[in-house]
Amino acid sequence: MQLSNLFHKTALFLVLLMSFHTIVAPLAGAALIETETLVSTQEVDASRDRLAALLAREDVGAALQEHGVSTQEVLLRVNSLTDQEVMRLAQQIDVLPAGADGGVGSVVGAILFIFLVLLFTDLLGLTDVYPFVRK
Amino acid sequence: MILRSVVSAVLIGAALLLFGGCASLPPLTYPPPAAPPCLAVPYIPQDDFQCGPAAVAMVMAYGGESVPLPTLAPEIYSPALRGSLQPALIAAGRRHGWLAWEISDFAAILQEVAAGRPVIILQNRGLSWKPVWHYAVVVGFDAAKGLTCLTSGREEQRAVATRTVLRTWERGGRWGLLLLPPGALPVVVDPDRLLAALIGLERSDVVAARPGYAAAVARWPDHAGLSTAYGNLLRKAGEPAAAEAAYRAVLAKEPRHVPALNNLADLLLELGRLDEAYAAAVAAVAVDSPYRSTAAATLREIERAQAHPPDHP
Repeated sequence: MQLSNLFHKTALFLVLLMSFHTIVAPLAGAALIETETLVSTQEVDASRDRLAALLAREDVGAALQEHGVSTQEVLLRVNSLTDQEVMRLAQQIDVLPAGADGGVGSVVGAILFIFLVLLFTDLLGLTDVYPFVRK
Repeated sequence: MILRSVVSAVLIGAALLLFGGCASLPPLTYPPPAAPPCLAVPYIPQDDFQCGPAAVAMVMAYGGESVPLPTLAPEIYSPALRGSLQPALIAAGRRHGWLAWEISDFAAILQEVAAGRPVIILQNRGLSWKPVWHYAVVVGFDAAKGLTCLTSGREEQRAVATRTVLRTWERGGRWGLLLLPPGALPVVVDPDRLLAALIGLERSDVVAARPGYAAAVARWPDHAGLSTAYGNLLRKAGEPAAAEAAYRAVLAKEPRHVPALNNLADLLLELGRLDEAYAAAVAAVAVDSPYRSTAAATLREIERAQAHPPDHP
């Protein structure tokens, strides 16, 4: 289990590294300034920013794999995000809320106190948990 | 009787303690009302925990693109979290060629809705210590009655008090997501953030990003970053003449813009116009910028080509 986890992470990193090469590979011999560096922090060396983003992609990818997302999907998701987005996400991924909606059932199953509080706050229009409460 | 008043006093006291911080909401400025009270966004019922994929599917279906839930769910949903992260919604939108535009201002959300664009919001419908997370779609509002029209994977359209929506939205972190088909721009928009959003779309779908860049450059012809990015895209699309025009449009206003100078030099080198390429590269190297090493590399390549013309090896 541990080993296959390590294998997955390594594989992910290698694939990301390969895609990174296609990003920085010069178009026609000389070096093009890629669009994505246009919005990177001006004071910081643009290429260092991109390397940091690559590492962030690996972190985010590993976290997504732990969330049960397939390797193929992880790559597609991570590569759809810009360098800035992926660096922000790498810092936040453990605290970001996952929009879920377990349905009313999970809340009804909570202890009666919470049920009553939420019912009360629903009636006040502060929360919106129970569909049968008209807001 | 006494017991009842004691209980209600305790509950009110508890509520005040819990919500002291969000008791008052800033005033909301409504845009002119939407033509129909609520947009006719089709209802797509969700599977358990999959309000994220359902919200995206509904917005896309309203825009005329029917992407089935079994396609969207693996792109958006995180099984172990039993929920969907916001960046996954953004990424999925882009993978289907839609521009993802995040909104943190509720008045701006209503402006998009008034313009006929449904907006996904993340709500915490419960409490900060007992969160009930949910992605819903804002599809309309009634300023006079103070109502907002919501739909989501678990509820067909319903009118909710706007102040309730505002509170649950604030508790959810003030996050809204507008998904736009190729070429469409948000109503409330600034060029810097638009460039970042277009770069994100371009990562997944170059073809879909192109009309977006074209619209953005037409609206902000003086924005150097947008025009340079558009030039890069045109070049990759195999249109060197159009790319050159985009770079030169930047340089007409900002002659010392290093990315435009460098990329023009690189393009001209490829086209074999070495004298012009050399002039642009020299100008790029002369400016102190974070791109100096790249510009120097470009200049070296041009000098090498000048020393060894491909026609006379």
